[in-house]
Amino acid sequence: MNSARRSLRLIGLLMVFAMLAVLAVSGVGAQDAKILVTGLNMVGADPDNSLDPSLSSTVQSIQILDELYIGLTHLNEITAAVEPGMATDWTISEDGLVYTFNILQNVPWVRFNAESGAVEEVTDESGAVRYVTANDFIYGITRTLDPVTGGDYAYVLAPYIVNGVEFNAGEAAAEDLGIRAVDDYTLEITSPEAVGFAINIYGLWMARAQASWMLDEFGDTWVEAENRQTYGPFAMKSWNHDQDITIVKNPFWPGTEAVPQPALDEVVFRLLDDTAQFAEYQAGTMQAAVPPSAEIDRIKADAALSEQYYAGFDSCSLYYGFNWEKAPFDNVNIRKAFSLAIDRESVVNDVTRDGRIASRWYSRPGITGAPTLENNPDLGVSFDAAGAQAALEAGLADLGLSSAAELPTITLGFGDTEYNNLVAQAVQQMWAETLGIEVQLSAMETTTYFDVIEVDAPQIFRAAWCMDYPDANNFLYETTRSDSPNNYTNWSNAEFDALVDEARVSTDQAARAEMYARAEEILVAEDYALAPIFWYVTRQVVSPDVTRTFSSIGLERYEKWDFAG
Amino acid sequence: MAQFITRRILWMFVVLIVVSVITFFLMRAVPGGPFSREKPLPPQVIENLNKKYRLDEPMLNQYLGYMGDILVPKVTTERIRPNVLEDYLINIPLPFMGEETYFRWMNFGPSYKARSRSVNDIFEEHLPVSFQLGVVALGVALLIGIPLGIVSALKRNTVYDYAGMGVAIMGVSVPVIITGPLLQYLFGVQLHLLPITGWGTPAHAILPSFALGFTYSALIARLMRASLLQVLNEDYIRTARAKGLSERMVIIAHALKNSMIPVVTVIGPLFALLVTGTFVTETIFGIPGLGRYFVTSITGRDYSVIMGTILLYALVLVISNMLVDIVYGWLDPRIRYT
Amino acid sequence: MTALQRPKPAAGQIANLKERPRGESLWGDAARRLRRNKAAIMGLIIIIISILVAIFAPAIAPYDYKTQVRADNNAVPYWVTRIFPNMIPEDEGGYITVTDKYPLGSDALGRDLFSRIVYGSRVSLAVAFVGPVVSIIVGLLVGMIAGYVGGKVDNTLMRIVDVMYAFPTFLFIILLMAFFRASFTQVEQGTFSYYISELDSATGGLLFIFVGIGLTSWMQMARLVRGQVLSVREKEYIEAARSIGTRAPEIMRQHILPNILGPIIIAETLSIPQYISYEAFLSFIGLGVNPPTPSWGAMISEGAQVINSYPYQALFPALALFFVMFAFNFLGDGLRDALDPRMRGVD
Repeated sequence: MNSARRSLRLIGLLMVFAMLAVLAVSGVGAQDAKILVTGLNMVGADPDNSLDPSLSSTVQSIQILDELYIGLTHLNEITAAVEPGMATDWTISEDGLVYTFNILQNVPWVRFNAESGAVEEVTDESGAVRYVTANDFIYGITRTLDPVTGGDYAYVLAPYIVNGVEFNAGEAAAEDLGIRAVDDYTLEITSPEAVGFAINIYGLWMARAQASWMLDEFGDTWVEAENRQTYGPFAMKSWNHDQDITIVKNPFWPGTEAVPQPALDEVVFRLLDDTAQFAEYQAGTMQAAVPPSAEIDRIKADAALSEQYYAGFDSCSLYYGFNWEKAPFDNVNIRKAFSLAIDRESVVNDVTRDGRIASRWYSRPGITGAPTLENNPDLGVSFDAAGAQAALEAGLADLGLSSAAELPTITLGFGDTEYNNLVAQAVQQMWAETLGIEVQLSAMETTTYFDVIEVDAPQIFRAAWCMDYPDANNFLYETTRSDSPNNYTNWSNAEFDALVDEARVSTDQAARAEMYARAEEILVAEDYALAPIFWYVTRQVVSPDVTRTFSSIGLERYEKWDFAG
Repeated sequence: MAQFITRRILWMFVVLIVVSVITFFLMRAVPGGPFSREKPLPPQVIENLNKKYRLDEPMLNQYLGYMGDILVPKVTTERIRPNVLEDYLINIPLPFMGEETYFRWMNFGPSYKARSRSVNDIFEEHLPVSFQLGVVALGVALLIGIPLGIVSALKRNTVYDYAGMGVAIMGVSVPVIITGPLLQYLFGVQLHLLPITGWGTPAHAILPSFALGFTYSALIARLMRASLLQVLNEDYIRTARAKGLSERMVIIAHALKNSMIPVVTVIGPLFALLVTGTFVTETIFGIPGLGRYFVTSITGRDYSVIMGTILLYALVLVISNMLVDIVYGWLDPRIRYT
Repeated sequence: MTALQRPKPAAGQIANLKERPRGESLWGDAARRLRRNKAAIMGLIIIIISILVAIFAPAIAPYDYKTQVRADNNAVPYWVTRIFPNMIPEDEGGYITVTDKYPLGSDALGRDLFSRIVYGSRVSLAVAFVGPVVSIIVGLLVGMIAGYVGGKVDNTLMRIVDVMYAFPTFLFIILLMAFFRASFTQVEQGTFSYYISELDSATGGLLFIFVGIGLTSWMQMARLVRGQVLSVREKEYIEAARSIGTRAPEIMRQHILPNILGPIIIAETLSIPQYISYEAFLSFIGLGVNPPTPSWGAMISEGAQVINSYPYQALFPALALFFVMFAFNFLGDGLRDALDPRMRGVD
């Protein structure tokens, strides 16, 4: 009895020692390796979890891809300027059609070896290290445009490569593409037309180098961490689906001025929604997180948290569109009344309360070509109760109606999410207050809604656009031009179309800015095709132990982050 | 017994076929498709994708093709490059027929959303997580629910009864979306005792399984209470009492076993519900389980995942109900399998 | 299960039995015993009060449920900040606006939370009553036909029940709701579908929630009813009725229905909390009632999003839900006790 108890106690003591030893070891490990734990909201209704440069479309996936693969050109996260990425430099032919890129010569393909716990260079059959070449870029671009791949973003790249659109439509062969390797480290891309921002597009995630031998070997499973080969500043260490993604410093990345060697050893992305991320952050288990927007008031009131909070640039722009084919929104004065009656300042200050910016026009200021608030103090629309009421009177007179009660039932449609609901209810009340019109809210299941607005949008519909590349063309030409598939308003205006067509191919940035400002004026304050509501911001809390750059492009460059001291 | 099981298994196939037909045509009747996006894809891309996934064929062909992929086994000789379009759940090597010969069966198709993964990949990776969570949560529900029910029944219409039932009802009316964050705040953020989110260690399972189990303990407690009350009025219990057995012996030896029947009845569907994953709990606690695929597959129109998850649920339900019927026989020898 | 056989009349009641229609002694006895059950009576009172609140919501609520005073968002009376210690008022260096305008505070759009809870009782109670009604109507019909007619009909109906039962309930509701909502929106004015969709939006989206819940909840009822019918079908008095040529629907209505009603009522009161939680779940995944119609489920799931900063927004509606669930539970248990024939004379 006695000895049994003694041995039990001994075992207990041993266990305590063992635990202490484990703690000590892990403590030492944590001191040596700089591991940043952050969050990534990749758990939404549409988990785009392929992390495949040819397929991915969400900002979360692109965040990871940008650390694993570097584009020919690279976007500076602070200035949003185009910098050399994998291309050390490039030349553009005089007619602006042919781009010749000189590619970094010493960047090997790497993979993380789980057995040795280290990143290692990839070798070919003969044992020679495989370096990233022009052919890998050609393979990647061709794969993106290949109709068999079915890439979501092929359409962004295709118009800027000769025969790109045709190949993507299955009407041309891969050999016809305007892309060729002059030698292993010189890539030549030919664009069918001279467009200034094409240099941006050649650096996007869907135009990165891809490893053909890897796809041959692993088929669809190449995306998993144990198979994946990359070349950027970080390599993929592990990917537990729906749980976390760990990227690890790639010691073979040579480091350039734009993309230095990472200071951090590892970055762990916990795949959690905002609420869970912020709880983990407060518990001290994460060094960076996205807090829920409902918590911003509390964060700002808290002495410590307010110092750690940062609201950064987000390219998205929210608007309520008017369907021109549905009465009474075929009348410009009615549209004007509904747009002027929205108190955007109140929406961002009282309803969302997380630093969003009341928008006066559609394209997001801060991207190339888009009007800025400083230079255009009088552009666009803003809340004007008297103006809205006057416009309503005028509109009713146009329609031959004596009161607003004679208008048909008006419906505002939106995808049923918590946030859309809140904003819609606030705006519904504003219309009731200012115009005396009770608008019906129709909250639809989200995917149904996407289908509905494409086929037959409600009289008023909620929509938002986030940039694919930082140029106003992406907003004004690709979504609001009369023939754009994203133009659900059925609106068309020849002057607007002419302006965005001209601005698209112009290289004079000052002239472009003027043209886009004029186009915006037509869009939101003459024709009232849509009512802009607000521009988004990102939300971030980052531990004071971390030194970092403050991004203005919506993506972080973790190779420039470090722990202080 | 053997005949009973055979008949039930045959019947199971009929149920699964009917479930697959209804699900297939109902989900296809809902507007929107797997490639509907906020930023719509160009028609050309959608056409390409539809072709790749055979979604451009007539509906009936698609259904037959889908069922064919699942039901018709294949014997392949060439080495299959990993390919989500051909990913089989069952791969048995046939060495007597050649080096690379495999018997392959049950291809549940690719996910249209997570495009580098097949439905089988999703099951293999996420079902075990949900299973573990579900079993622990079911244990929690029983551990809280049964004692509460017994106490409430024995102390009927006393403060204990009301308090016990009050706790149980709190479980139903305060859903996991509230208990979850509160538990996280208390034990994670404030006390630093337990991990807030994630999965992997037993500690990770404590908060979610408690939050989830608590919700269902109310159901168990109320059934237990009702059924125990009824059993305590049965003649054989009176007889046992008349024999002079102590009240405790009466309850333990006679009443409890018999009053478990209704509880066991609900354990069948409850088991199926919990082990196939629970959307809310997994979302709040960041658990990589299967539950969210049940909901996101529908909202994202990920057709093959919808079919896969619903068939999986139906299968687990039918099997667990069959097991429940077998347990009945043990609890109440009067029940015979016919 | 033989829960509800014809009760043997107690000796003293035999004399009265002739004057009374059949069954009254059962109900009278049950009512008498229900009255003695304090918890059940309390439950009944709470339910009656909440029904009154739902009916007279406009008179009780100090504000309209949709009137927003946006500047007053997330404001609370002082005492609320004392309950939740992390809600620090602005004048103490925190972020909470303190105002006495709203008895339980206001929500994110500056709407009175108390008024929304009062109006929200309408949806939750409607679900609590319509769920059982749909499930009883369909379940009773299917169960009685299957149980009484028997044979092939019984077999077919029960196999249908089996199949329906194999669907995951929530999922089936989601699919059905998505299907209904989508098929009945964007239709030509004047058609049948148009009126259905008008009805749905007039009820704040409740119609399809009812249909969804109804279509998924009758199977258990059908099974229960069938079992009950089977157990009374062969009784002497049914035989007797049949032998004197009473027609089947008549037998069902007059003789079978009263005898199986007890277990049905019990089962339904017991599953009411489940219907209420369905509505809450639908709100959580964005298929609930249309805004700005308030429902407790929607309020709880909206409040859960802000539970760390403004916990009262989820907890107050949850408290209301708790009381009603509590009431239905105790009433259900009380009814069960009261209607259980073996409990007779126990107290």
